[in-house]
Amino acid sequence: MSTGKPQTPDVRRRALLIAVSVMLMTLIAVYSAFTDNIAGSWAALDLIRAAALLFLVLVLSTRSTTSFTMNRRDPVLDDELSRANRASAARYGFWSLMLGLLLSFVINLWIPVELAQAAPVLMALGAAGATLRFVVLEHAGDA
Amino acid sequence: MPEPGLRVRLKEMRMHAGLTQAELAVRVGVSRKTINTVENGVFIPSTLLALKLASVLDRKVEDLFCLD
Repeated sequence: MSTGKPQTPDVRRRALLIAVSVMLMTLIAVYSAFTDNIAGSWAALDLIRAAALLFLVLVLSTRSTTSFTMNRRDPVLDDELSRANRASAARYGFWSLMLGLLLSFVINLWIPVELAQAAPVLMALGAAGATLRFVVLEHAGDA
Repeated sequence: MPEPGLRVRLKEMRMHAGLTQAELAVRVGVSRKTINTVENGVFIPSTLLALKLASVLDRKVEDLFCLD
């Protein structure tokens, strides 16, 4: 990552964010791989999940266009339209998650739902909502 | 969806200057998508981008964007 140039606060902040995020995500991957399996053995699903999480860490730390990247940001890929689209996508993700949460409360009236069961679904719902919104907005820009 | 009340004449001015969307995007330092969405009125640019666009096209900001 060293380029020989003096590090700006932005670069230092980015490096710190990456380091902390990689450590946290790796911890989550390892923890989930060792604790969520059945009868102490590694199921294929656990391995796939851990590998996918580590792959996500790798992609985010090298290819992301936001502050969460080891590389210098490409100003064209991080222009104000992309930032606006990301902000809108984040809002959609949040409201998707809230909708899911509300639905889980309603479902819980008839069928007991545990947090451990609902949390991954809710997180996936939020991520899917944000991703879909971003894809739609980016596609609209091409029209 | 275009913003009501805002009239965008960027496309007209860009074509008058003989530039493509991609060429204008490179000169301003944004993506072509940004130029496209600004021209279509889908995205309202920041003051900074509006000033850059006006500078590149050698126009006033008011020539590019005005109220209906």
